[in-house]
Amino acid sequence: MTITVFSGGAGCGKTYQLMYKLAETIAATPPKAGQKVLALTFMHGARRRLDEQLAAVPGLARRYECTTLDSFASRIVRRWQSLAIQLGARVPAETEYDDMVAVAAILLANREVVLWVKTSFPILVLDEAQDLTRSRLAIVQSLATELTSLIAADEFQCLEPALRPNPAWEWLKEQKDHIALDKPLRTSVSALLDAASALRSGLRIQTGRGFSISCTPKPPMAGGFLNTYIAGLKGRGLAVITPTFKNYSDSVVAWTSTRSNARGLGPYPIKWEQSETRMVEEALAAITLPNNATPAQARHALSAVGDIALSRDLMTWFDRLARTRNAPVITKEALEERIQIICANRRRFQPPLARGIKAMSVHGAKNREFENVVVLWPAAVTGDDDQKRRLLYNAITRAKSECLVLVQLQKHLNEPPFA
Amino acid sequence: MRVADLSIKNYRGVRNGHLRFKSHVVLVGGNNTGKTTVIEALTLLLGRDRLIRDLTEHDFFGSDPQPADRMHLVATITDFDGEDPNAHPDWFRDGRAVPKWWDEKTGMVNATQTNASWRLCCQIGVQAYFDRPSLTVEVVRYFHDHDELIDPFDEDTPVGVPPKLIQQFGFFLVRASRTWDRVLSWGSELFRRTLQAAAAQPSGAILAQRDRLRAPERAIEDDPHIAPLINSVNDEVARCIAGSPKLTLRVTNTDSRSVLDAVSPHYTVGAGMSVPAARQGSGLISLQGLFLLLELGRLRSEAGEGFTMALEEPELHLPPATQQQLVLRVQALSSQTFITTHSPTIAAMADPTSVLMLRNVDGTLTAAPFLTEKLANNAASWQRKFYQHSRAEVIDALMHATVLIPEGRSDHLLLKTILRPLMLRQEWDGEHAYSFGLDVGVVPTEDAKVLEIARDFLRIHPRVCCLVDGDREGHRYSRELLDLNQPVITVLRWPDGYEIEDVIGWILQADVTSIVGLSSDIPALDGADLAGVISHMKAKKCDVVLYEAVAEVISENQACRERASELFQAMTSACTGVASARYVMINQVWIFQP
Repeated sequence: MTITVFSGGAGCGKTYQLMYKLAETIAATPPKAGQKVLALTFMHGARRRLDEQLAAVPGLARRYECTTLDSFASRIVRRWQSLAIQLGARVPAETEYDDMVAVAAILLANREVVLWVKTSFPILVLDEAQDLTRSRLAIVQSLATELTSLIAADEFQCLEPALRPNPAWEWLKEQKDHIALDKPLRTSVSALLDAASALRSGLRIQTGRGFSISCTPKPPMAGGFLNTYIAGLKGRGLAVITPTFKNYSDSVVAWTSTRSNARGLGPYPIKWEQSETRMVEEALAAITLPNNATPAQARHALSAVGDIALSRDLMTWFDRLARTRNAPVITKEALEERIQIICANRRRFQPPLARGIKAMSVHGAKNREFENVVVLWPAAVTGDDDQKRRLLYNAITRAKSECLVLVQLQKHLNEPPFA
Repeated sequence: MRVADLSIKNYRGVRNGHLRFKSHVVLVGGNNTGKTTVIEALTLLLGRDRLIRDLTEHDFFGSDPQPADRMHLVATITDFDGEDPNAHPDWFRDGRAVPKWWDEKTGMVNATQTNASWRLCCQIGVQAYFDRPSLTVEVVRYFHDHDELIDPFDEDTPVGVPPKLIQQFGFFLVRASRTWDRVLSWGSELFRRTLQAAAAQPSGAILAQRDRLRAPERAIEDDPHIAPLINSVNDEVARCIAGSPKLTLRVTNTDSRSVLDAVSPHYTVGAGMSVPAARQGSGLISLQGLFLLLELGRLRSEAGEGFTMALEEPELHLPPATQQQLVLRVQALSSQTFITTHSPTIAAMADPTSVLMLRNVDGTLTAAPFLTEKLANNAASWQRKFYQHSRAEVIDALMHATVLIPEGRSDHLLLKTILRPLMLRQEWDGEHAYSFGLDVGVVPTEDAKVLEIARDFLRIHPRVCCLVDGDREGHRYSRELLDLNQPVITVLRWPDGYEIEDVIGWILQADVTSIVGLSSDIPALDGADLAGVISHMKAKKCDVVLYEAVAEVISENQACRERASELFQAMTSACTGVASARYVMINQVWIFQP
């Protein structure tokens, strides 16, 4: 077993190096028949991007499996259930993600389980390792005892306050084969690079060509500003990124989507990239179901759901229930769980709509890149100074050409993360 | 690799069943107990797709599967070389089986190996359900990870067993309904596979045949009988089509594929004409087919591949000596064999701990080995005689719905000898002695070990009956048998003072003149009266000549025959717990009423 670590700030080519090293590794010791590379990520969006990158690795020829850590954990638990029970663990339900991960960690502490994985997957690739919670880290550490592991991480991009000090980083920085990357490759816009490095160092950030900050206290003002900006882009790619959806950001996006400004620019429809929980909530709100409904009643209730794909998936589920169970009933809880699973799967398999302007959370923007970025920075951003710097860092480093930050409160400009 | 155990739920006549297997299993049981069900279950679990028959509602227990009903089979596969999962990456890895550990003593499957004697195993499951909207049975074969509920048709997506592993395991099945006459030709997959493994295409000979067929010495179209017709067709064609093609008639399509397809196996005996296999006797054909299969087995085992053979009723079409030879060859060449049989000869030649006596009580299938362990060197002499020398007779008796344990060998012999001519003489109605022969199997008890044998049989047979004399010993046996506290034991006793010879006396009494006929075969009985005959029989136990003479006398005389018939019929009823004029239950024992 060997562990190779790549670290460095956003845009330093960690992922690129990871793929390069992978190509080298498989050239040196090609996987045997039936063996594949195991690539683990956190969110489904990231999985899709990693999948694309892996597809381009020379020599790999689709001999890889790209999956989220949580699905990998749930697979381990499902297959090794009898060992889990023997070890005294409870087998969690499919939607109890954290419990599932914890049980998988217990299972993978057994060498036979790790060897069983290794026989199929001699090589592990993991990006964004700073986001590993303790039990997810335990899974990776167990795998790394046997699998050749290629891991990339940037401690500063961890947005979870509970992970400070960062347990994965504590482990990774001790690894002998550790390559620190410090040359930014994503953009050559110096104002963007300077702002990013100032945030990392906790210094005041400077604006410049390609990076500007404006104070726009009222949503209509911010919206008007945004309309002008969008008009100037002439269709080049844009993402609106915000640390919190509520109030300010929601209102700004709503204004731009429906109104034109004083110069007659706009409206420009902007779609929120929904989080899984929000999708589930919306779907549930649209369905009115009698308690313990029959599949026929449930099918009827679905007509109110606007989401055609979701209602089709639910129909398939109702149909399966009717075929495989005697007199099945559908409870609210079961329906909710099913909608959750469907939404999770959908994020797993369907790429988000590529067209139009999207608004998203900083978390949702992680590890992605856009030509232009507008950051909406509302009055109420929670977290300590360090957390705020991390949030802003993650937001502005998504931009390749230009980034505009709209701040709600003037006084914030003299406080972290801006100063 | 071999199958260590099998559990069956809701499949055909089996609601629930669990069987454990050794290497060379012989399945014995009455009709409809589930011998074929076991074999077909193994086929669903381990057979290549083309071996598997389409399932219908009738393959579910009760034939009316509801949406939630599942047919569910699980087999435990063990005997992996080295007992190390990492040495078998094809079987044990993510995407394949989860390694588990089989405790040979208890038959339990464990998640970890906490005892060094536990063997590496994996489990394969099959589930099926009847899909009402489409009227089809959906089947999946998957790695069975744990005994918690897995429903592949509802919530779970189990890991399928890839065909490659099925091929590696090498499960071959010869069903009771065999179609061997096409086996030795290219239409048969078995033949092609064996050819591929054992030899090469006979391409030279096939091409020579093809060329000969393309340019025959005497072409059909040139035959003077048909030539006028062919010529006029050719003339017509020439009028319509430029460069007129000429009609010729050829056997086959004259390419090598058609030649292969047209090959048909023939057999030649001595210098005679060769005769197509389809016209041969079934014995020769099935033997050839089996040997082809065995050849494949030999090649597979040489290549280190698995060869598991399930053979239904090897006794079909074959004389006993060939049956035995065949079974021995099959066992020698296979890593594991499953043989079903109705032949006591075959069952008796197998390792008695591998002979499984199947019983099916209301859908619950159980299987117990004929002997739980091999007879020890210090086994009692009655055990050797009974379980070794008389094994075929004992197994024969156990194949009946009811097994009857008399006090001694002479009872067994006498009952059988008298029954035989009765059955031969039976008419369309009236006399029912034959039902005794069909329903009740009598064992040749040694040394009056009624109690010991009954205790052994309770383990393997659902209906055990004992037959004891009306003397002090007989009373003691009945008490001891009832003390076993097993409701399945039925005890029959002759009336006080009676032994079987007295009962024969009772039969002869129906017409005492009949005993005159005895003297021709048994000079000692010349002029003897009934009492003399009875005491002579008591003195000459197991005298076959005497018994046959008595049997003949009885069967020749209508009154005696009727009485004998009545006796057998009453015994059959008593064995199944039904009272009759001749059997009355007193203190839990059925007493014969002469």
